[in-house]
Amino acid sequence: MIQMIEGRYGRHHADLMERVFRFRHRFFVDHLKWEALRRPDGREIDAFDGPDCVHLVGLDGDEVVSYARLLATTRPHLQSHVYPQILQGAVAPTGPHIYEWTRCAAAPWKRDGTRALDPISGYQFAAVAEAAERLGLDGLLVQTHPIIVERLISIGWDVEPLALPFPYDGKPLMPIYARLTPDTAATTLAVYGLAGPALEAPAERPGEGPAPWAPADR
Amino acid sequence: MADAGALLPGQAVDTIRQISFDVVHRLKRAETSEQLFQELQSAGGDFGYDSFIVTGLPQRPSELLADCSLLVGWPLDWAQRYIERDYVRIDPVIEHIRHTIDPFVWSEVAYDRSDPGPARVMNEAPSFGLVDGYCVPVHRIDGREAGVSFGAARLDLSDDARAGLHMIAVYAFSKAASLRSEAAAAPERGAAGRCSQREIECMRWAAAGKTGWETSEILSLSQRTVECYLASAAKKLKAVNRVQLIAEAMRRGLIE
Repeated sequence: MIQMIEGRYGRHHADLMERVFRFRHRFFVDHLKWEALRRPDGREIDAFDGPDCVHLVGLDGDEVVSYARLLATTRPHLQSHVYPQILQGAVAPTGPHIYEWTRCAAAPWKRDGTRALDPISGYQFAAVAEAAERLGLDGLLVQTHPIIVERLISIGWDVEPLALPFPYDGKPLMPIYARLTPDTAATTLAVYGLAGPALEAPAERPGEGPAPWAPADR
Repeated sequence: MADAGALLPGQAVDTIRQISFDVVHRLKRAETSEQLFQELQSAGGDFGYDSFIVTGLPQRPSELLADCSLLVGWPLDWAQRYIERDYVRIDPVIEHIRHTIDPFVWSEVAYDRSDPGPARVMNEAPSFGLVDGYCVPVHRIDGREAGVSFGAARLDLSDDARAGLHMIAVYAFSKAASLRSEAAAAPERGAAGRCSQREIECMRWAAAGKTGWETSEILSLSQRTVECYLASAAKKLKAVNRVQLIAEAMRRGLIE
């Protein structure tokens, strides 16, 4: 199951967030070799891990096995503040119903090589769609290799290109707007042959009042 | 709601970029493989390619190109030769797709020139008008490989044209694959999909490279009747042209 943790409540999950930052370092730095993110303490954490971001954490028991981060586009995010040049002058949509999907990861070291479709990735992808539904989003900004664009379309996202693939760090990177459809989460689960939901029910937080994304009638 | 206008690329875009976005816009809305095929054909004028193919790669030794091709826009004689001689097994462009996720130009593909198989495909293609080409690999979420290849007598792509074709290929493949799986999921309706013996005979001779007139002589039918049989078979098999028809008939085992 995937747990959804909003940045502002991260302090209630200090142990888990610690494991998340270590998982991110292991995946993005050790595995993907994003050397710019390397840190001596082995925790991959940046300025965007603030109160407005949403962490989607895949757990196998206590072990973090997958992850994705959603950033509010009403605040600085990667497309606006880290590599705006990949938009090549185009204007990306932003607003309260649009988040940016970043730091997507599924542990390759947990992958069962005999299966064509990795269930850990499948649950993580489905959880992103379910979280977008829960947050009432229209869609997500993503920048990714075009090879992934075909996969996002195949798991049910309605993908609008924002600019042509652009060479970044020697590889083509394509900025896209992935619209959520009513079928996105179900399509993802069906492609992977999994039963949903992927996302854990919202946690109760006594004394804090409902989370901002909780239905009004709770 | 996101303003659709904000999704268009910025002002002062140059032509090939704008054309690329326009083509993608229409590919996304294509409802039939005919529309998809025509869109890719007409984009050839803007990008300078003459022919194209949208295809999955065989995943097992028993699988033929005809089993996994989605849109075949090769010259008819090359497509027949390619399918008949099972070139998909020795074509170095196909082999290269399995090892890269980035687009490449055919002439950049390294292959063992002392190996007669790959060399044969590369040496024969130019005489069918496929002097060079641009290939976009696809690696699907379940690990299956696929590709979109654009062939030309003379290939001259700017950086923007390459990037534009890269994007177009992604959308062309996505739509072709989803139309194919919709068609596969659709229940057989009445006679649709079932070809008559005469239709199959005509397809068999067409696959052997016979023209409509030659087939009419062989089968003692009028040329017009032969064309009608082929047209109705194409309709039943949802093929957009002769090459696609033959490929689809082979895929379904109607002809060898």
